[in-house]
Amino acid sequence: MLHRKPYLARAFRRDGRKGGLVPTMAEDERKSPPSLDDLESRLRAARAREDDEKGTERAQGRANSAGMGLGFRVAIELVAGVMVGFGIGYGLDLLFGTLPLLMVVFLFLGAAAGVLNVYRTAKGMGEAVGLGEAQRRMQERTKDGSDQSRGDGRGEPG
Amino acid sequence: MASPVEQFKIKPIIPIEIGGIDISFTNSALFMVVSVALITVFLSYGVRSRAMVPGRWQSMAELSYEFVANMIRDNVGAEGRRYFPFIFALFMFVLFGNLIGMIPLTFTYTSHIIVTFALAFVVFLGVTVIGFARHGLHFFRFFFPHGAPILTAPILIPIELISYLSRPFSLAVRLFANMTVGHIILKVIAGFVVAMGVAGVVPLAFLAGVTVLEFGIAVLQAYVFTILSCIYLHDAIHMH
Repeated sequence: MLHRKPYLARAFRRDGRKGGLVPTMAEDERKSPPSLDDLESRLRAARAREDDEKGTERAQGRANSAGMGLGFRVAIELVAGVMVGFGIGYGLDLLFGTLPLLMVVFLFLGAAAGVLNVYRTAKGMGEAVGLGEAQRRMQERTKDGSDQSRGDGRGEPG
Repeated sequence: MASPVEQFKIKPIIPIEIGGIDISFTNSALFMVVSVALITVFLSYGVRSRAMVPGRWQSMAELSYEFVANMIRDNVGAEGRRYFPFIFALFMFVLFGNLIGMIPLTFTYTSHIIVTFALAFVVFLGVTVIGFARHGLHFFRFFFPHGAPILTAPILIPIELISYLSRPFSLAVRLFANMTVGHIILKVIAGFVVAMGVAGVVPLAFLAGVTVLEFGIAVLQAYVFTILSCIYLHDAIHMH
């Protein structure tokens, strides 16, 4: 396929870096156009190199956004617990006509639930129902030594 | 200058009132209909040719399908397949709501907590019903940590119960807060552009960056909402 090239092109190839013409090597002469497999492997190598260069920078950015997401999540969990506690207490109070009493009790329980949720979020315990179950699963995961299992520290960013 | 929260105002388009309840067709409802119509068009137009080698639209339709299918496979497992239609509809509805809201002069229905709460509550209710259907009253046992002294039950059980009940709230508030805050920030910075005259190019450049970020957040929040639904679903199916 390489036959009938102009003389200059056959004897020299353009060197991209130096911008000049350098003599081609003898092996280049005989080589057929690169196969797709060859191209694929070179592409992969180039991508890997680029990832190495940018990797640390990118990981830093990821950590930042994950941290922000975690912070946002913690704030929401804390408030949600208190709000639900207040809602339940207030509702029960209206039902039984004991207005401030149950509201105060459930406000504290709600705050405790909020803190519990924050604890679970911060520990990366996932979303299992109940603390005991969440703890058991976390232990299982650490025993396996695999962080492949889902639900932990997935840390939904944002 | 218009208030930055004016964009969230609900305006009735076709006033309807039945039995003293206002069920008007509002701008929020209009954009929900628009989003559902767009989703339908996007998917049915995309796959109309049923080509072996997909074109642009078919690629996009297949991409969204596979994205959700993989999410369910990875997070719920094989048993989650039957919930695919619901999860897919949920994802597309939230995603299109967020993205349509990024077009100027539109209304972002996901910036209203009642909308996100309704979605989150449906998920929560469905997951709880599935949990009870699969595990019966055994479900209640998870509200008391195994091995804790029985005397602590009166405190621990309500705390665990509230912790469980706060899930739809945190799910709803996360989506709602992200969308509302983003749109307010855009409006406030846009106000600076006008107020600062020639120097307004600085906030304008910043605004361009924030808009890109908001597009990212719009997609990300749809993803987060869906993946959390998947995780809840997984725990309802695989508790033991």
